[in-house]
Amino acid sequence: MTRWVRIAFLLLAFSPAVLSGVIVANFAVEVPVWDDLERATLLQKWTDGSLDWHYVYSPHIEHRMTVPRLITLTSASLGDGSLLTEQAVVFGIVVATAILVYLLLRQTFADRPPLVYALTFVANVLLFSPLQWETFLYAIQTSFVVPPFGLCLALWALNARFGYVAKFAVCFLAAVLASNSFSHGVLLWGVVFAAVALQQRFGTARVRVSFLAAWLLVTAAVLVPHFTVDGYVNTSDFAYVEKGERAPGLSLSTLPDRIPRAVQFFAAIVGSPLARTTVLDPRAVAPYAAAILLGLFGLAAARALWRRRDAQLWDRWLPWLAVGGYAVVVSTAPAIGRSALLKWSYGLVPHYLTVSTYLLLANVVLVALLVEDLRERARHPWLRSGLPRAAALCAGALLAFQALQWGIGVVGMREWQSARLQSRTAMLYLNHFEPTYVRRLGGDLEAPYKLVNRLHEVGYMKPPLLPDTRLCHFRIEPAPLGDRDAALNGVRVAGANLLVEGYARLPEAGRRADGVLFTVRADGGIRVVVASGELAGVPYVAVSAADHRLDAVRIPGLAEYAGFRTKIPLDLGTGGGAQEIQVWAVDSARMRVHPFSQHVVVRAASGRPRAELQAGPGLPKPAVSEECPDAGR
Amino acid sequence: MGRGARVGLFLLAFTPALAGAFLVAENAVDVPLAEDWARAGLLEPGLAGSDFALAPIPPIPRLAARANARWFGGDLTLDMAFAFGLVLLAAFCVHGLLRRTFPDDAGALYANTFVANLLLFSPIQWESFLWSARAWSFLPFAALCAGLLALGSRWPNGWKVATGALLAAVTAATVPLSAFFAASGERAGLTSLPSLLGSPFARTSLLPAEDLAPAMGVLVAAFFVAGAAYCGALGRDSNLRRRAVPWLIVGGFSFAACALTLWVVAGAEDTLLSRHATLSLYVCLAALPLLALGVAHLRGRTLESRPALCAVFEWAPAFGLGILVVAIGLGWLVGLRGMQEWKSARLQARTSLVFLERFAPVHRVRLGGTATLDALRRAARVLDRHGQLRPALAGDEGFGPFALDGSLAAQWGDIESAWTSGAGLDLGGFAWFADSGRCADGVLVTARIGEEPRRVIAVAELQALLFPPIPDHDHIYNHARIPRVDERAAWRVRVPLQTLPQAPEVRIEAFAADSEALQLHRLTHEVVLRRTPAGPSAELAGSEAP
Repeated sequence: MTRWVRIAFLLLAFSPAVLSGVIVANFAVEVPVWDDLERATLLQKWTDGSLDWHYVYSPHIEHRMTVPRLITLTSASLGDGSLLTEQAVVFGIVVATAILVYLLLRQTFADRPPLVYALTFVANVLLFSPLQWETFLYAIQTSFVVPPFGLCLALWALNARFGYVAKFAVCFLAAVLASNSFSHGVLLWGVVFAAVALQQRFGTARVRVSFLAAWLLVTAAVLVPHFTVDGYVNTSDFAYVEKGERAPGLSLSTLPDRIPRAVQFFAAIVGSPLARTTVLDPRAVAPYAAAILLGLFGLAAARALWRRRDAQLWDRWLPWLAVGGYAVVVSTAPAIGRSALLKWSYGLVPHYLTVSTYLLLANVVLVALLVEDLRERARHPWLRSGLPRAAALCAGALLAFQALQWGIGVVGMREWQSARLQSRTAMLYLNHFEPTYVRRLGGDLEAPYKLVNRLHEVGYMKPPLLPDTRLCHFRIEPAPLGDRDAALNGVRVAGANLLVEGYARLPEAGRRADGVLFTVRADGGIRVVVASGELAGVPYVAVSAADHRLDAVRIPGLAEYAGFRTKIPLDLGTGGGAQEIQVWAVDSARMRVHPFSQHVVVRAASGRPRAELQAGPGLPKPAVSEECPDAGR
Repeated sequence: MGRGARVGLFLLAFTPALAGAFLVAENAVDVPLAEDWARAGLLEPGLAGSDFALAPIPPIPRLAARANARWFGGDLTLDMAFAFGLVLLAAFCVHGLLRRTFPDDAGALYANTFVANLLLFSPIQWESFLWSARAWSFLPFAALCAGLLALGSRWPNGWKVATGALLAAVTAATVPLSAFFAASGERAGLTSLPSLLGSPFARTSLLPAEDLAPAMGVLVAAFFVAGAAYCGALGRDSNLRRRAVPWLIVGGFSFAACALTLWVVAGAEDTLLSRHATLSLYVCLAALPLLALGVAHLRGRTLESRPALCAVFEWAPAFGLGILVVAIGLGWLVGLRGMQEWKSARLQARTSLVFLERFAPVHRVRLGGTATLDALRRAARVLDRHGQLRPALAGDEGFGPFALDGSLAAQWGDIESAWTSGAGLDLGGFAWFADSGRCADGVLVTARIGEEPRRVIAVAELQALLFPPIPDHDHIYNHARIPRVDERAAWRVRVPLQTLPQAPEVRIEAFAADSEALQLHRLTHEVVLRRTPAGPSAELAGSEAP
């Protein structure tokens, strides 16, 4: 194979990374979500000079997230502290992991470059799948992706042609990074120990014993403070335990009562990479997918043990058994711990895919090794020719299925982006109106309210919170949206509020609106916002209308995809008489608002307010200037 | 390969037939739909069949329908079983043809048979499998494959000609050829051919099927043309050509059938109708052996000169097969949903049909396509008179064939809203059978005064919101709206106040109908309608045992 052919194959093998990079860049947004808001305290301490190592090293629930915090601080000191930078870092760490997987594959199949490129391609299809949208688009996930990176780094180093001191140093670095990113990184200390102990061609007995002894020493030196410093109590605002409390960990005392739920939780995590289709319920599919993946892994592990006397073969299998085993053990921990708090189907949340994907990846390589081994030892010619064909068939099937997973992932990213941009609209008015869907920001309003304002104060809230309710902070588009894109379906008075229902889509962006604003004309003639609403639509589904023409089923349309229902207080503070309320669809990515082609009129009749919809956007352009100095940012 | 292994592989290759049989048996229901009603015209010639069908029923289906009516009570599920039998016949013939194509390659034979069966029995053709009037659409291909098998056999030439002629005559007598002359209005042109060809593979992603179908159609056609071109012209190998001929004919016939179908298809969107997949999937079925022959031939030629390329030819077909199997498998899942929705719609239509004489069906399309209510009622009366409707039309104001069987838990079904507006009472709610995971087959609304017997005053059909099961955790940070049961199984009905008993207080109850088991389950709440001088008012009241 010539050099250029190798380069071409390498580029092809990494093409999923390029494609995924483009997709991630398209959907990434600068909006903090839940634990992202923890950075507010960190950056405030950084800004006012009160930051110390105690805080950087302090536990976030039961995780010591020193590395992610350092990444945030580095981003803030070298750049603008943007969340987008950290999302790029997440992607970069996955790229680095993918390169390490490629290097590991080169070690495993040293004399078969075509197979290395083919398996690298499959690995990259899995590692960069947009199905992991909660990993790629969630800045805090720098914490989640470092441990798998550390694992691959350590396994690669142990098989590389380094001296033993260098191997030790790289493994130490990998384990320190991993265990100071998230709690599943702690496992790396054990994985390295086991890998060295089990690797058959790891130097002389003296070298091995020295390595292991030194490793035990540094493990103790790192992990004892890890679990003891400052009492190992939570400092997070977004935790299921209060600040200052110790996390319950695996809650082993209650485990006997909930073993079935813990097993289901585990199956949901492990089966998640293969559980999603457009028709079947992932909750029903996941246990079967988990059984297949665990069965394959068990089969490979059994075969490896059976052939353990072949030292070369064993050492080629060992890293992939470590990768798969790591994924299994890490999946077990939340299954045991979180099943005490959550229902088992929570195991399907996309961010767990960051771990469970590695079991699928390990299985792909282990199956290749298994086929290679069985083929070499097969007596029947049809078995010798049939095994590679069967493997190729499985590879084709896996890739075809992954194409669907990528599609589902892109839909997930689109939903994520839409929710974040709606959060942005809500946050802009956080000090004026309560967000419609608080859980897009945090568990309750208290922590987000405090931390968003803190971020704003230290200058890391982009765009900054709006100082008042004037509409002019947005660029006001003159042309109303067409009825096909935005409409009000109904308005009625409910107690002291006006209830307005409708839907809104941004035709240029091709997504649901990033919120709706309701304005009235204030005394000075300018438009002020009296309510801000978020949309809660169903995720996009692919169902052809032709399929069910004779069944008369309802297929979710725009009203379901981009619907909203907003309460507006009837006390608008604009005097008596008829009041016109104008409605706007927000494009918070570009800080624009588009008027609806209908408006609401509220009249007081016999002391009781009555509301009705009227055609036209309402409220002609005011005579006074509506310009804000910072409009259209 | 030993005999045992061959038998094992044969059984494995026919597992899709078993799965298909199970799905068809599970979802087939004896409820007439659109053209099915034209049979009423066969029982009483005075009734115009043209109310329901574009063209008259061809001779053989006409005879079969008469035979079914006479000996089996016009059971429509028998037609569906017959349709499945035709597909099974086609599958055996395809396997026979494949044996001739791959006499020395058991791997290619059984792999092709398996994929062919995945295609032939794919539930993506749910309309063909579960619609009695479409049962005969499987016959032309079954006859073609049987004819090709006969022509390639060692029979005497006279027998071959006679068999071929018989099959052609039978086929001609089952295809409603006059439909081509009766077609009018806007038609889908030949430009829609790619969409029709790609229809069986158009629902395998999250892209809109309308967008994906043409691309998939071009891909399928390109594979067929490439295989045909190689085997037919470039191969210059008489043995290769001889083995390829049956597949060239099958593919060519499918192309022609698709092109002709476009003449009666109303518009480009209609090319995606499930029933048309029955025609187009044969192009893919024919392309596979052609490609396999071509690849095997190429591999033989490059064996010595280019070992690397030869290795690619070793695994590339298996790799492609893996992709194809998943694509067809995803089609099976979509077909499974299609079958379930079809069955649910038919069962709801059955509930409405029972009360057709008293109430107009809410969604008439589920029963009669575009037929008028009057035409439907006339046809239903004819079938009912001849004992061909199961269950029979309800003759009084009671529950008809339905029997009360407990109540539905409030979490799975209830009346949620009731108000009077104008001259009507509007009721809304939901009804879901959790055990079988489907919507109720309609809701019967009854009225009673005091302890008098209940009178059915309305039949509500459910309009299910079609939405794939997405775990709420997938969008836990997004607050996306995942439709709940009350949205997915919603019903709504308006009852004219004048049809209600004229009493100061009337109790309105609702019952979820299971029209498969002919059972009714009472919904928890009831409505009390009060007539006062200020006007009628409706109020939801607490639960009461039936």
